[in-house]
Amino acid sequence: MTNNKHNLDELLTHSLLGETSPAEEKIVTEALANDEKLRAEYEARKESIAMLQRLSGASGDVRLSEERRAEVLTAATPAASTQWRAVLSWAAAICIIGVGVVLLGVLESETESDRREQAEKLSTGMPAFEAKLPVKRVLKKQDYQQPAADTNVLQDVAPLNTRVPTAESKDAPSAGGKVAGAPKNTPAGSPTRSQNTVNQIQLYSPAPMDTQADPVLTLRAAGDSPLANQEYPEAYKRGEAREALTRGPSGTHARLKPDKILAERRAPAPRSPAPPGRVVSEANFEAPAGLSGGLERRERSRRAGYLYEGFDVDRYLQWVQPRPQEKPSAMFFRYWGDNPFVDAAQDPQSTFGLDVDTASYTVARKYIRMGKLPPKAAIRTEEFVNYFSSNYPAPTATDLALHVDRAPSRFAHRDNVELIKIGVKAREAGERGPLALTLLIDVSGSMRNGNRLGLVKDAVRTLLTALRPDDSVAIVTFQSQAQTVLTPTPIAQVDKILTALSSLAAGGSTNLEGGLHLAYPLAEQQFQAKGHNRVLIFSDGVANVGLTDPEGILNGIAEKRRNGIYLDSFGVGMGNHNDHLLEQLADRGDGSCSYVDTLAEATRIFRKNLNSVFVTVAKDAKVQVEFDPKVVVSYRQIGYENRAIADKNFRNDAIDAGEVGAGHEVVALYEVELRPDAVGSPAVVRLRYKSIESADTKPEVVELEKPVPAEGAKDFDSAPDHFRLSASVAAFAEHLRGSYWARSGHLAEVLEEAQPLTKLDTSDDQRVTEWVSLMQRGKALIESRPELSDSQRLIDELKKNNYLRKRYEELAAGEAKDVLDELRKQNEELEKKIRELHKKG
Amino acid sequence: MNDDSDLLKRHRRGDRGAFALLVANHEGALLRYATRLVGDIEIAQDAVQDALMNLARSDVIPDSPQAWLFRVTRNRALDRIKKESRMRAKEAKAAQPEVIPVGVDPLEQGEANCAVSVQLEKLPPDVREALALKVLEGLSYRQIAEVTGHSVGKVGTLIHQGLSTLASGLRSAGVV
Repeated sequence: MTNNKHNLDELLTHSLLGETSPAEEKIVTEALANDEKLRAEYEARKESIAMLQRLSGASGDVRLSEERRAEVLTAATPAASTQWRAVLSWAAAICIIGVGVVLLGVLESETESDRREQAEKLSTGMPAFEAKLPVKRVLKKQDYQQPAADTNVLQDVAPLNTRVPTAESKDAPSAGGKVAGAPKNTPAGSPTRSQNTVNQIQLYSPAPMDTQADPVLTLRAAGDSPLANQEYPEAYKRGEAREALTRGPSGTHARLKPDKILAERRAPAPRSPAPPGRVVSEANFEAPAGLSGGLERRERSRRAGYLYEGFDVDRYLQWVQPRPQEKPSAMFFRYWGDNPFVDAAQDPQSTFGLDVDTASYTVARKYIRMGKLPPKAAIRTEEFVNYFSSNYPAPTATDLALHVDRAPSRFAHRDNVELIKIGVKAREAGERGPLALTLLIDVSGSMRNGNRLGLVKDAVRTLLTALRPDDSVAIVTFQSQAQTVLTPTPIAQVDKILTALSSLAAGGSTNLEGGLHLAYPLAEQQFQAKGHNRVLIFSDGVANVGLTDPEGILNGIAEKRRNGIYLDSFGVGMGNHNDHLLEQLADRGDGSCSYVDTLAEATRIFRKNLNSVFVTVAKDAKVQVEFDPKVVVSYRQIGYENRAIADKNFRNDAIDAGEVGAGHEVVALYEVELRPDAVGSPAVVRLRYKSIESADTKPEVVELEKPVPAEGAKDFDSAPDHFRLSASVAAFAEHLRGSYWARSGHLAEVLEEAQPLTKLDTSDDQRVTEWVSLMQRGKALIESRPELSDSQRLIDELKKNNYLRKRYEELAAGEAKDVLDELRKQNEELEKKIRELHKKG
Repeated sequence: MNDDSDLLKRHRRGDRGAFALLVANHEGALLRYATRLVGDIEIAQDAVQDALMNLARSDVIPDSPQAWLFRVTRNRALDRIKKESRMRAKEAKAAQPEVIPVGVDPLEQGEANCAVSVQLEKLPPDVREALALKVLEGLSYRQIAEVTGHSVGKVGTLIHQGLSTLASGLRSAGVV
């Protein structure tokens, strides 16, 4: 009996790893059906395998170095007579892969600090590193990141932030040098800031901005500071500059109250105790007992707020430096990965492409249900908002209609802050043309995990039931090699399609590129001029053979898109699910990106929303919001971080933007700070898109315009239901992201607002109810997010100061020299403290 | 895999692309494995290069080219480490098979991954190696036996021991 049990236990392992005979498999299946404990053990091992794979997956793709590859291939060159040709062709091949392999090879074989350097270079947009592969590398890393560490450099390297061409590489070391030298100039034993406070200027703010106890960013000037006896800078006196200048890095707006400050200057403020959290305590970095070895080290470095062991503090401080040509808003984004508040007077226009995707919400849902916090990069706030319906009426006269609402913000905790909701609704499809779908299904080894392929098969079966007899389907699979499984077949022969579908089995590596090469010719073969032509990718998105960088794959897709073949991606799986690659694929292919976590989600997408997924009614839809600086002090866009378009390109119809399917709703939100006394409309909203009837008609460009109403709802509660829903969902997403702007609020208040909105649900649409329960589960996860360590807090403060400095520089144009000097001085102290803390750790 | 034997046959017949495909199919897994094994990327690269060049020049077509490549890579890498460790006694420790991927920021790994790493550290080296070859590189028990020199039965036992220990460790850590 014991022996039997022992055998069964081992059989479980072998079964999970595919090493059992059919007879043994039968035993396992029967045993599992009857024994709940065994099932739990089975699941635990299965999950352990998945976690192990995830852990390993995070180390990315590795390749032989270029020289070694060349040597290997030379050794493999056959007969001497053909040798020169072979060498030539290898040389060509090497040249082609060269750029990639060299960079990737370098990237892979370097030490951690080198890697970070790469990331830094990328983020500074050094021309040499605008090459494509490393970008993929960085993006990939992002996808695996946990949101906890606020100071993580790689997290700060935003995908869009590869621009900002500067002479950074030359400037930075010198800047770093200066900084490094600075603390030494500070006399030893000089009093700390909190001790020698003579004059305290409160830069802001009424509302708490951090979750930790650091509600006040104070600028303290020593008695001999130029601030103490100098006249107020001219810029402060000018109305508009004062407004702008006094804004801090947070939405809680640095409120530099001139009167108060001047009063304080006349009579120096009494020495005030340091605000909590400002003074660096003798931090205790001891790891809790019970942790051993590597974990203890790791735990210690985590607590000390280092990026990793061997954290190079000099290099990091250099990274935190403002960059010569960098705009404050770009800097803010680099630091925190969120959109900043933008001064309406400085930059009145905000332009972006619509994002109709919802994948981010479903990905996050799966994470939370598994009891894990999704990584920050996986949370795209706009996709959360767009997952829910606003119930706008469908337009009949135009393809798209604009809706604009406004109401006071519920979650900003400041006066004069309102939320503007811009909604776009597409017309219903009417009679749609035939669909020609080319399914590109990932059957690589990773698709075996957690029944990913099974889910894909189920999803496709669901899709098939929603299609018409005149629609057609072709199937291509890809693993190490791509293969055509089914040539274009009308739905009338659904049996043939189903047979092909059931024959699919997973194994091998992932050659996405090869799959695309087979899929597009098939799509062209079954092209329906009057219909809708789409390539649908079902994958966990981890390409590892052939071209694996998004850029290389993406460029090919963009070309096909112009021929009327669109690409949609459907993500499955978890852990090594490369959401970013799939999103980019769909983005370039002018299609949508969805994440299918359950069969119910597949049903929702394919059965209920088939038209909005496959029938595109408007292409390249862009929105431009033009704020009136007389009414609006500043604004920030919520989400759409990677959808921004240059203002001047709004009317450039060659620019690729968002596609909108029939019946679709897309929402964008802005938080705006209004001038207290201002009247009138705060902004005008423009929508520009190309109207398309079918694949063979020429698109017609349409532009709509609508002002934001001069009067909105008088308070949040009296705003329409859909408005409160969008606002609450966005707030939830921001909490989940650990957004800079969510620091002042609590998820509890979002939950409170959300509860009554469940009334919007119908019997077959329980999205709001489901979301509320998701928030309840997510709340504990968000609250258990570790607080910033002391050095992380200092670094955060350093960032804030740098950001402030940059704004002052830009706005005051040399006039606020004293303030700048003060900030610089503070930063030197901060850097010194960070270094000290680092030394101790 | 059959594909590998086919590719090798094509390579012997003078098909120039065949060996390049073979390299592309295996270099990643081999490098990962070797790096884990010796904890040194350079040595890993050398070992993999050696193994691939050997295969390119060899006239024999192994039953499982994949297992063959793993075995040769393993031998080369361990030889190198042994040689070097004589010179640098410190690095002898690095000769222990290691499953934790090299070059992943601890902070990035997240709690769950951290727990996996800790549990892995507790496993004996031979268990870790077998588990990695199976779970991460997808080799069959037979191939693993060929690579490591254990019997197939021993491989199964090692892997079972590894997986059940890992699972119960992760369960008690509350991760699974």
